[in-house]
This record gives sequence, C-alpha cells and structure tokens, in this order.
Amino acid sequence: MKSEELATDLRRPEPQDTAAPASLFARGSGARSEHSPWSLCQRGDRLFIRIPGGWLDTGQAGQTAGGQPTAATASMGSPVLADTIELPAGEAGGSLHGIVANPGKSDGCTSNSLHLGADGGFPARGVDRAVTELAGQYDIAQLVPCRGRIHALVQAQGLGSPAERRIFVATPETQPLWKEITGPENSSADRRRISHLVSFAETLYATVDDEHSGFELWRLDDTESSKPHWVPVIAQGGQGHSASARVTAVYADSEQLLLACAAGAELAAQDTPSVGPELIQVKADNSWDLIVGSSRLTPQGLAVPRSLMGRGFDNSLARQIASISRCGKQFSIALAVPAAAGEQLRGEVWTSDDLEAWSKAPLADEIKGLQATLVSALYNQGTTLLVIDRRSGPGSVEAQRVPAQHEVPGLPRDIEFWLQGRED
Amino acid sequence: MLTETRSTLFFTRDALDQICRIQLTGIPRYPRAGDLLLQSPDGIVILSPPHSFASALCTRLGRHPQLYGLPDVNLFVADTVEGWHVKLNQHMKRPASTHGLLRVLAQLHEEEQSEQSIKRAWDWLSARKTWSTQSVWAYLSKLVYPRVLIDKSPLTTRSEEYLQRALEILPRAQFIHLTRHPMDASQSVDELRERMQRYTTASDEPPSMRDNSLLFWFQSHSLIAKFLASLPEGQTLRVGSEQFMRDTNGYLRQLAEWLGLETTDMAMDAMNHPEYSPFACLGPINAQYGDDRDFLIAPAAMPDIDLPPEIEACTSFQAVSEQIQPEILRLSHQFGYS
Repeated sequence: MKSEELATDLRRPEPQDTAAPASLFARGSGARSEHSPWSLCQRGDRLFIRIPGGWLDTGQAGQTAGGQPTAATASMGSPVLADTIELPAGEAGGSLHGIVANPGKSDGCTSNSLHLGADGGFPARGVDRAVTELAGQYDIAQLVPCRGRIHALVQAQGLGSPAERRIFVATPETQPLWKEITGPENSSADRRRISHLVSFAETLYATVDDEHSGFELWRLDDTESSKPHWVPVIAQGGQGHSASARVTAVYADSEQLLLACAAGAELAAQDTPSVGPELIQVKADNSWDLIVGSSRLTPQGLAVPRSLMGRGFDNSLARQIASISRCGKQFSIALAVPAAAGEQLRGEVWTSDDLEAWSKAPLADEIKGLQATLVSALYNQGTTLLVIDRRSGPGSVEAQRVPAQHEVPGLPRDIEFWLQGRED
Repeated sequence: MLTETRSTLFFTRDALDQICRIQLTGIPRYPRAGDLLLQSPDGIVILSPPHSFASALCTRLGRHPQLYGLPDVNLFVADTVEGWHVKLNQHMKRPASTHGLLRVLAQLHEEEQSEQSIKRAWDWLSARKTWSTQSVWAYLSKLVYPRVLIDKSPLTTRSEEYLQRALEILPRAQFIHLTRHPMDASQSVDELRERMQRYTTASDEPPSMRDNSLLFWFQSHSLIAKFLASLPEGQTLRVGSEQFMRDTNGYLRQLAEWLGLETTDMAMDAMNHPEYSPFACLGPINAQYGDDRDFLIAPAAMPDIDLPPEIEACTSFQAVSEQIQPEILRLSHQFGYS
C-alpha cells in the first residue's frame, strides 16, 4: 500500500477493523511500575515514550526515522524514576528535573528517600526531613509544576488508610523545600483517594476518586493572601455517580482539561451493563462538557455527549480509558477492553481533532494477535505509537512471536512499545 | 389498517438506522442521542416501580404542548385487548388498573369522562377484543397527533416480558428511568400496603413486594437497568426523583431539551400545572382511578424531600440476605444514593 493510501485509510471516520493497513517497524520492551504510566508525548517534532529511567525518543512525528528508537535515560545510580517534569525555561531555571525514589522498596527496604535530580538551575538536593520522616515507605505518584512551584502527590504507606495520599509543594526559594498542603478529599474514608494532580490554566487541580459517590474535581485557590483552599469543580462524577468513580487518565493543554473516568472496583467486578468509561472536558471557566458517556440531567444543565457516543465509545466491553494523548491537533485515546483468557488484544485506539468526530485507528494484525492490554497510544499523521502490557494478558509472555527489533537493554520484557505507520 | 397506517407514519428500525447514518456527517455508526432527536419518537415511557413520583413527572411532562400525558393504561402487559383485560382483571385481580385506559378513551372520544362515556369506552374496547395492544397505542397516537403519548404505567416494570413488549410496540420510544431513594421508596410501599390489604392477596404480586419492599425496589430497578442497557445511549435517560422535586423547573427544562421539545415560556408554564390534566382527578364512579389515589386527590402537591436514613441502618435492609445486601448498595450507589 502506498503511503498516501495508507494515510487516507487511517483518517477514514470508521476504518474497517479487518484492514491491516499499518506496517510494523519498531518494537521495544521494558518494565512497568505503578508510577511509570508509559505515557506518550510530543516534544517539538519528535515522539517520546516515558519509560522507567527516562524518555525514549522514537523518532519524528509522521515519520519513524527508520524505526530506530533511542533511549535517553536520566539516572542516579540505579533508581526508579518516579516522575519527570519539564519546567518552562526561565521559570525555575531548569530544563528537566526528576524526583527519584530509592529502589529499595522492591527489595523490601523501608528506608526510601527522595532526591531531586536536575540538569539546570533548579537546585538538586535531598528532600526535606518533613517528608522523609513521614513514614518508612512512600511513593511519589506524580510531580506537577504549576506557577513556578512543583507539587508532589505522595502516597504514604502505613499511615492511616493504606491508600492515603498527601500533597506537598516545593519552590526553589522556600526552606524547607517541601511543605505539605491539605488535600481536598475531606474524608479519610477508605473508598476515597486523590488520584491525580494536574496543572491547567495556571491553576492546580486535583481529582479525588470515590467508589460510592463518583469522582470529584477540585481546584486549588491560592491566589489570595488567605490560606490556600480547595474549591469543588465537579462532584459525584458529574452525576455519573459510582459508574464514574475513578479518574484513570488526565490531559491538559492551554484550552482544556480532559478527564477519563471509569467505574470503581465495586461496579467493575460485577457483570453490570452500562458502566463503560467516560470522557469529560473541563474548560478554563470551570464549566464542563461530556465528550463520551451517558446523557444525564445535572444541576448545571442537560449533559449530552458531544461525540454522540455512549460509555466506552459505544463498546459495552470497554472498562477504562488508559491514556489521553495529543500530537499536533490529533487527540488519541487508548481504550482498554479486557480480553478473556486466550483472546487477542481487544484494546482500541480512537482519534479526533475536534473531540466531536471520532474514528477508530486500525491496528496492524501483528499487534491485534497479541495477548496483552493496551496501555497507551498516540496517533498522528499516519503513525501510531502503542504501549501494551503483556503481563495482563493471559498465559505467559510470548515475546518470541514477534521478532525483537529494538529492545531497550536490561529492561524486563513485560511492557512493549510498538510503532506502526508509513514507511517513508 | 392501523398497522398499515403505522407503517406509513413510522420508519422501521433498520430504516431509521440508515437515515441516521446518512444524516449525521456521513459517519457510519449506530444511532445515538442526537440521532434519535432527529426523529420524533413514537412514544415516551417512564419506567419506575410504584411510589417513585412517576405521576408527578408524567403529568407535568404530559402538559407540554407537544406531549399528551396518559394515566396508567398498562397496555404492555399483554399482546391483545382481550389478553390485557384478562391479565388485569383475572390474573392480577386489579380491575382498577383498567380505569386509566377507559378514561383516556372516554376523554379522547367524547372530551369528557362520565359514567356514560366510560361505559361507551368499555363497549368500544369490547368490540375490539382481538386488537393488538400495539394497535390500541397506534390508535391513541393518531387521536392525539401531532402530540406524542407519554406513559408511566408501573405494571410495565413487573417483568422482562412487559418491558420487551413495550420496546416491540414502541421501537423508537424514549425511555426515562425514574429512581427514588430505596429507603424512601420502600417505606412508601410499606405504608400503602398497610392501608390496602388487597396488596397482599393479589395473585401475581411479586413475593418480594409482600415480604420486603426494599427487595422489591432492588428487583424492579435491576430489571429496568438491565433492559435499558440493551438500548442505544440516546434512547434512555435516568432521572432521580429527588433531583426533580428539588428543582422541578430546571429539570423539566432539561428533560424537554433531551426529548427535543420546545422550551418556550408557554411550554414551561404549561408543565407547571399538572392539575389541568383531565386525568389529574378522581374519575367517575365506574373508572375512578388510573393513577395513584394520593396524586389524584392533590395532583399539584410536591412532597418535601428530606435526607433519607442510611441504607445500612434500616431494618428492611438488615432483613435482606447478606448475599443481596452488597447488590442493593451497589445499585443504590449507581443511582447516586450513598
């Protein structure tokens, strides 16, 4: 198939699932940790995968540079990279920072420590004792820069609820470096926890998962001299209630904040119909709009999905949106569809450039034949970048089914990334 | 004849699919919310077990200039008029459940509901025993055209068979699932049961309703939820009666938008006067009911909505088996009742 035909084919509103228009010319593998979501992003004209230990440069968007991904790792000894962030030039003086958790956790060691890695002006130094004394074990779930500060979502093990998460904020000037701020969850109930921090419109937002009532979105009001406080933006899962209990993916740019929500474990464990994931758009004025999901009445007005698609992109088997990515104007959604034992990959990749008209990107037959779960996806100009989890597929890892062309040395092979697209 | 008339008025489901696919930006896919709004529905059905404030909702919506609110006609319990009569009178032992249809026929035929007009409605029905209930619905639709009928007969939620029949008769209907907090709903049913001993003797009354009204709430809503899950997204909407009661105007407007109806001041004002419905009062002696008695006596009354007690603390919840308890809580949470 010629490249023009392939590009046209990929842009069709609803390509036939049976088509195998994409060529496969790159594959790699690595380990997956709870805090390495294997997200995909675009920097300039290049596509990157975030992997444990750094970023993987997979080539130029729209091309694949011959399928030669190169690893660009940032390491401190042999740490687990909890999260990496990129600060705008001039804001804090640095270009890339990482907070690294001691890998001792995996060895059963309880003396974890935090470090701030830097390659710019932001001072690299150990974390304040207020954090290190918090508990013997903790994880950094997220780092989010917002208005010159870095916010850390910390999961403290062994303090109160096992899933308790706390928020710390750091600025270059303050001493101590890290200071805890009260979270928005308002309750210590086991069923509630802060799931994401995200910076949008120069404001820090936090999502709280609630198994019973539905997720909540809060924004931090710290613009006045008074004590910072959280203001509710969305409650009760936007009236999706327990069918919209967990926020599974977030995306923010200058125009919007996108939230993907799914049913909680209580519902997901049941063979309950109509509990597929939803996609919600939040605007800068804090109004929100349903992109994909169930129509409903809300205190703010009637919510009808702009895409005219119901929960799970009309797929009753879909249970979670694994990732939201954007490359150029193109949004990509990785939809996780659980596969029964012995079944092939059933994940779907949906793309749109206006959040209204969506089309399903075709997957190469070689990928569809895998027994795995779709973790993340990015689509642009005929190139689809996929991250899949072989562990969650039934049976043993069957990496030998696909010849390894570009593996990252030294990393386990349960996570794989795949690149498919035009052969320029 | 009616079938022929119907076929000229309405599209088949396959035809509707084709139309929707063409009309919407050329994208081939199954019809969804907006797709269905492009076509006028062949009916609106409110699904809820008894004592969920369906009368208040249906009668208000039914006052909209583009709709016609029905009392409990219970047409979906049988395939034919004769079957409908036998089911309600002999099997269910609920002769009052026939009152709604008699009142509608009298009203539409003669613009009045009197003993004589009700008797003539009986005669009219008796002469059409072989008619299908689908034909009766089509006949009523024709009489009120261009208004669209809206039904809330609570017996429809008694069995999957009735629900499926509703869909067969009205494939393009829009279904509104009306919920109420399980504790309030079960308490209300308990109070009614105490007042009306005949509830305990009705032959096909669900055992759960006699034994535990909370279990009845769970079974009814589970049935409705399962049924609606099989329909396209745009064909169903869930409404909490408490939300509706707290902000009646706001939610009526949203419902009108969802149904694709006008939201002019005149239309909204009409919906604020359920008492003007010809069925929002007791009927003549030979067809007094067709709706909840309390509603017929005070149709415009709106109950105060208090915070209900915690589900787990209620005796009716504790009386349910431990296997079912988590299921009840799960469904309650799904409806927004924590």
